[in-house]
Amino acid sequence: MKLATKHKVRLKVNGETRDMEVAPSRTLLDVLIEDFRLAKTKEGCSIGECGACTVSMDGKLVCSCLVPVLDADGKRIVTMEQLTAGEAGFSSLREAFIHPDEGARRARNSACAPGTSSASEIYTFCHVCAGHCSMKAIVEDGKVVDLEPDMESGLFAEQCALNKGRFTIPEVLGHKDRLLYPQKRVGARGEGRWQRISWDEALDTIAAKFNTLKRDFGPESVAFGLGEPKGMEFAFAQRLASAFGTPSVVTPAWCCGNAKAMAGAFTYGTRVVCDDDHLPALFVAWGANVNHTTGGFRRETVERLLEAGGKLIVVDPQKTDTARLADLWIRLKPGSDGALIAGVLKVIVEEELFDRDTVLNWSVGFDKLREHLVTVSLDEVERQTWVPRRQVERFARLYATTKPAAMQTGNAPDQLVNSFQTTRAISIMRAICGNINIPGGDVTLTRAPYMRPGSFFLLSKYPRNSGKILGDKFKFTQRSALVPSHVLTKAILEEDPYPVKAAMFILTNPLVSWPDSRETHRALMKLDFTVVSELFMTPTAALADIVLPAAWCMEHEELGYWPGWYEEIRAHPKLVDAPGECWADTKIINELAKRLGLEADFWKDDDEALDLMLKPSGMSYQQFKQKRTLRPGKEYRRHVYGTPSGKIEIHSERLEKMGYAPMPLWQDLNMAAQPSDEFPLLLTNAKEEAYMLSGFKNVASLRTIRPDPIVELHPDAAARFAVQEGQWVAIETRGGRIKQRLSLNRNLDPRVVVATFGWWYPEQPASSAYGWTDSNINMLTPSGPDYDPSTGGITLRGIPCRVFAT
Amino acid sequence: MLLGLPEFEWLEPDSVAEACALLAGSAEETAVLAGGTDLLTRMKQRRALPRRLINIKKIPGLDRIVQDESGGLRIGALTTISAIEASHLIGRAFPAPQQAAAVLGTAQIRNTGTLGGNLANASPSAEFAPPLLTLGASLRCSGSAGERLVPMEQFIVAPGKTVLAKDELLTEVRLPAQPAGARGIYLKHSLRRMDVAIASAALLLILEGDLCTEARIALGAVAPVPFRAKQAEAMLTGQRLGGDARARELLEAVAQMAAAESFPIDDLRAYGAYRKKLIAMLVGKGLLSLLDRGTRRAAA
Repeated sequence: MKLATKHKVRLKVNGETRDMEVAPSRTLLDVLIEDFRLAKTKEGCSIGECGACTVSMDGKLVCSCLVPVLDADGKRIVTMEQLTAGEAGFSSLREAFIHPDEGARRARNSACAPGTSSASEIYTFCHVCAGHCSMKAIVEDGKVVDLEPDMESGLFAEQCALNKGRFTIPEVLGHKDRLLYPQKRVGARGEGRWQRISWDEALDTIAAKFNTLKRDFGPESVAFGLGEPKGMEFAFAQRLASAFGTPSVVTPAWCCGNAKAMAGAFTYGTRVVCDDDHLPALFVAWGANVNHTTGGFRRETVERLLEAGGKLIVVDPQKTDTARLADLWIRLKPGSDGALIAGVLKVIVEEELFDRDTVLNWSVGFDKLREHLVTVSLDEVERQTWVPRRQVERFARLYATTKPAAMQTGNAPDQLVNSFQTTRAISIMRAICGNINIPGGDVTLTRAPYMRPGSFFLLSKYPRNSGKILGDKFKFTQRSALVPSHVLTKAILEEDPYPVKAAMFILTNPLVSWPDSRETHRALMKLDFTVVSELFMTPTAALADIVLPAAWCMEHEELGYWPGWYEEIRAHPKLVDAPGECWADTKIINELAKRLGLEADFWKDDDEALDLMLKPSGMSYQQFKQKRTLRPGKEYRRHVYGTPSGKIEIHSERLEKMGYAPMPLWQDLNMAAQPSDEFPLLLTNAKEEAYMLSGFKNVASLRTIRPDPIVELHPDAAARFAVQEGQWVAIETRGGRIKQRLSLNRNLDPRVVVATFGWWYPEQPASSAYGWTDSNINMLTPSGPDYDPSTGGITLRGIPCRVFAT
Repeated sequence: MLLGLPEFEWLEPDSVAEACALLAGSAEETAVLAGGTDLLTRMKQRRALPRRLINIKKIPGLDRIVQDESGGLRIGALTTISAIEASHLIGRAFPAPQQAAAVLGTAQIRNTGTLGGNLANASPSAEFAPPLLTLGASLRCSGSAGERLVPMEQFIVAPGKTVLAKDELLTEVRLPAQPAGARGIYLKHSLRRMDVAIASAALLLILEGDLCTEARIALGAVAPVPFRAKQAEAMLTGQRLGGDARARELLEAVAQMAAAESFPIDDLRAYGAYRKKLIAMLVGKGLLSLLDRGTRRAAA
């Protein structure tokens, strides 16, 4: 088979010569990462734009992602690893490697522009993702033209390999399609016709509508849909919801973070984070691709870990960039994380690999766990996870016997019908191996001195009464007031438990990001009145009655308090004026609150909230801007657990009293879906490196990198179902059908489909709501009826599906 | 997810004849691999799926820059962008292609990409096309049956499509010696210097004193293929371009005509109307710059 022919090649990398036989379709970068295990030379955009993969080849800088490895035969390769060996953080030398062309990245009006009249450099943080890399913004003539890594402050500054913040921010700030003024719908909903209105008319209309509905149907009939916070807008919206009196508030937490936070709380008293101030000897990335997406263990720390000879374990159905570096890559069946952790726990317990002192003196319920694990069969774990038994054993032994060990779980274990019990079992594993609150392990944080979000949300003054919308279901969600989306769509469509008549959406695009898009569409069409605040027209905005133009980060003074590196707070100074009539969401909410009669709980000017948030620190916002960030403390107080017993609660009476299983049991952990004759493959997805969730499909730099939504299959699966690489193929589940462009990938299990999340097409007509049905993975996902009883979670990974040619 | 390359067979001829024979004999989809910066990108995005790649970088003699007897230049198709950027031979007689090289992509791309690749890829915004159009360049296409010289104006026929036959390789670009009063320039407008052009223009004026005997204006990224704005050019032929108001008005009119001759699309980067404005700006600026250069030289 000619495609499989290997060729001989001699590679000279950082002074080491290796003779290898390689397939021609491997790039030099593939070999550098997989065979030479380089961690600083990374795969970012894969098409030579970002420079993350730059190496020197015979004295010339090239992008190794575009060099077929056969072209590197006999050439002298020098990489960043050699030139910056032993350096702790991101350095100027690495930046010079990645961006050798001074100024080539600056966004300017003309390649031949003369000198600028005013230029400044201001330190800030990227707001595009949870990584919040520290940056130096270059502002020329009132425009942000570039965002260089901040090499001065000592804060984490290595930007994501793809540099999406650096590329996206200047483009969005000056984008030709930014919404610039308030608009109201003309004609039928979704027709795509709009009329410009003033802010006064917009806010007066919204306030009148909301207050009328409050009078006629109760405040609960007005809902808020919120996305991931960037600054204070989320907090403002929560505060408004509290003051208005509505419990109908949807946030992403139900499928992102709530499960594992609760798991930590019930096991050791609070959630923990990986300690990046000390190097672990082993790091586990479970469903997290830390090289690309971050918000926890930093990529700089991964580099240091590997340089120091530390071990890396990655649990992921895909061979991600991080998995390629791993000592052990556990390729699990999507959705089977619970079965996997059950097997790992069994090995740790039965081979007595746990930390004896911790278990004997600092835990309750260990014997119950041991007794239950006897009933778990490792052969059954293998069948259910598709992970060979000896790998489960190796994972357990490596983790338990290597100290200190840090472990981060990503989104995937939080997006299952049994997320709580799964992350609970993972928490137990951390705890019994003695990795809690040790340097280099997973640690609790002492809060930095700023106002607690719950306090800002006025949850004490106006108790949220989530029970009203949730009944007695999903008790954890009741505590956190972070309602799942499917609860709201049900209330809209079925008026159960009460009718929801209006909604305001900020930071979010529910038609693309909530499960079961058809159902979401029906709900959005049924609402009497919808308000959307946005940067651009999106599928959700297309169905609104009023669309408000949002100012973005860097266009107003802002505080970032969530999530950061867990509980830090950051200053995001205003760098440029907002375009047109754009208002910051905080201003929109503040002004709306006044018109709703809620001025007592808000401010004359929304900026005043910045000082309020910082009050516990003794600093004003202006003073804090100099300091830039306040980070939480780590006290490493071993064996201090905020549980009722003061110990690690492997078995929790509190959970039992709430009506949930007090300890993870096999029957609760082994709940992954099974393929069937009708749907013989399992569908999963991952955060796309090139974009931020469903956003930025209209940013030219990003769309150049990833112009189409890609679905991946193993070549055997493609042959089996007669689909061709490069073609648009149909992916279908019980929920619906979409099409994405096919790429073949030998690293996948042949029974797995990896599709891309978040696709819609800004270039398609407004009247089609920008093509939300074509390639949007939430056309395929269910919104129930099986739910995690504690959080309301549903299974979004490992959904039975089929593929076929269109 | 990461996108590796799709699978393919790798062939490495060591002569043009062998490469052409391989191209001629190919049953399945085959592509020529030079620098690979465009091809491999499209392959990773699964928009191009050749199952055979013919790596031509081992063929000797295709990366040289040679002056011919008449004072023109012959540039091998495998000459890298950075070699063009650095070449004195090119810079002193043909500034426009060198200016195009200097603003193409990043240093890493310039070290890898080739002149031949840029032209054969035939993007509407191909950086070298407008300069070569103004220089009256011709392209040597070598096939199994022999060689032919194709004028640059005929080479690109549609976005991504050239006149190269299935078995033909682009092996050389010929730049004819320019008359004594010739001055050329290339301007590109993009958000970042490394980005693809939103609009680009190459201009060449042949001047005797302040009399313009010939003008060539080539535009990129504002039509399906790079092209010469012949009506705008005609407005300059035989005109005196001194520093007076009449000349300035003429230059402005030429710039507007060039914009009118463009038919750009709306896309993610820019609206077509904006691109037309950019063409007027670039052509106007370019003309002033060429005339100014002459004035400065004369003064010196």
